[in-house]
Amino acid sequence: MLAYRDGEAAAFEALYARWRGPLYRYFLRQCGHAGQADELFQDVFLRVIGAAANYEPSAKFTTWLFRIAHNRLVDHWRKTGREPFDPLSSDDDGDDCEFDPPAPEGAAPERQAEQRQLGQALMAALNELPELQREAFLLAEEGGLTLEEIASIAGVGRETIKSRLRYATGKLRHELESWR
Amino acid sequence: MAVSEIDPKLSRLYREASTEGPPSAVDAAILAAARKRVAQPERRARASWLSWMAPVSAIATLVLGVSIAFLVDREQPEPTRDTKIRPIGKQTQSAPPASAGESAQAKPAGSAAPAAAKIEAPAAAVQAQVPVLATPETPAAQAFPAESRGKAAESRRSVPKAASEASVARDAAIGTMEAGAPPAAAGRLAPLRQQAAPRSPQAWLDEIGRLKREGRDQEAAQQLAEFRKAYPAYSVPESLRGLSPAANARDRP
Repeated sequence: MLAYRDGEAAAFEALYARWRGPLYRYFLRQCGHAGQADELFQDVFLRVIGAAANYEPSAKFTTWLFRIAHNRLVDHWRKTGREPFDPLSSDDDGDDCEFDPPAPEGAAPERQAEQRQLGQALMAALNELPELQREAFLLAEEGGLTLEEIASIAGVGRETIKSRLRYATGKLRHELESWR
Repeated sequence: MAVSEIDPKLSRLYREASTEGPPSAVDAAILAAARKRVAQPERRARASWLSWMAPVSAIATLVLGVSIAFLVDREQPEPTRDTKIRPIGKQTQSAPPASAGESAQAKPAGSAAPAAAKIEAPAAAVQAQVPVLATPETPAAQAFPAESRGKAAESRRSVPKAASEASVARDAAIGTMEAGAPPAAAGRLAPLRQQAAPRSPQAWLDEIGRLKREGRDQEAAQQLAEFRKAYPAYSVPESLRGLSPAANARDRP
């Protein structure tokens, strides 16, 4: 990003190639609508381009990028009248479930078909998660961020994020139990 | 994965299933915007330089103009205090009534005045047209020797009233100017004086004739010698030829 700030266009292209997928999926999972995801994704990268001239590496680029994405998503939710729901205390099932997905590599064709179906079931289960738990999961999976980084983006404490992730994982495992 | 709260197997399943990406049109738009931003700063810098060009050139022109005006103002010589060239028109207008009035008074005075007045009046008018330098407050009697001033006064005395009074103011002005000026300046003013007080040859000869008639032969001879110096080709009347041997010798054919 510093190289791009100093006028190197190729640096941005490398950065974009690295983060285009994760950021796009972050929006796609949170919005559930490809058109909205396109719009939000493009808007975030245009903001990144606009802010490049004054960019200072005060935090990791990924943290900075996903903070912009988070703020944009919150704006989007406000515009559409959606309020993120956080049912932390009311949902504690799935914590004790064990999930063992089938191994993909070298599997037989029927196993590969099963793997695809399992992936679709995971996406469906993810879509059913509350927004805040899903966001914590996506920031961890797509952004590769730590608990602290996710907490700073979401504006909550580390333990809150830890709880959100635990509940999200439990629910997903629970939803995928039927595929065992 | 960095977060231990997520089951690794679940994480692996998610990554295998999650392969979506933005449409190529969005990719192209974002990359084009990124390249545009890189290309823009140069143009922006040039544009800002151009926007400064007009005011800077206007200020430079203003400063140059003001400094030239100051320089020109400083190099102009200070005009001599109270010294000015009188306009010719005023002199010409004021001369005829004076000379006419004076000639009317001069007629009853008799002697050679009428003829001299006729000659001197136009001469006075011509003299009056000569620009006269006037320095009113300067004192007199330093620049010229008393002898030459006496001569001038004597010759002025002999001129008929009409002409002499017309030139009184002029002579006084010149005398005053000469007196007030330093020696060097007086030297420079001598030709001006000669130019400003010319006498017609006939008037001069009349004056010489008058001196001869009055029995002042020495003065008459002196005047005649000066006259010959001034007008070598002028024909001297028979009656005056006997005033000096040198003159007689020169006049004889």
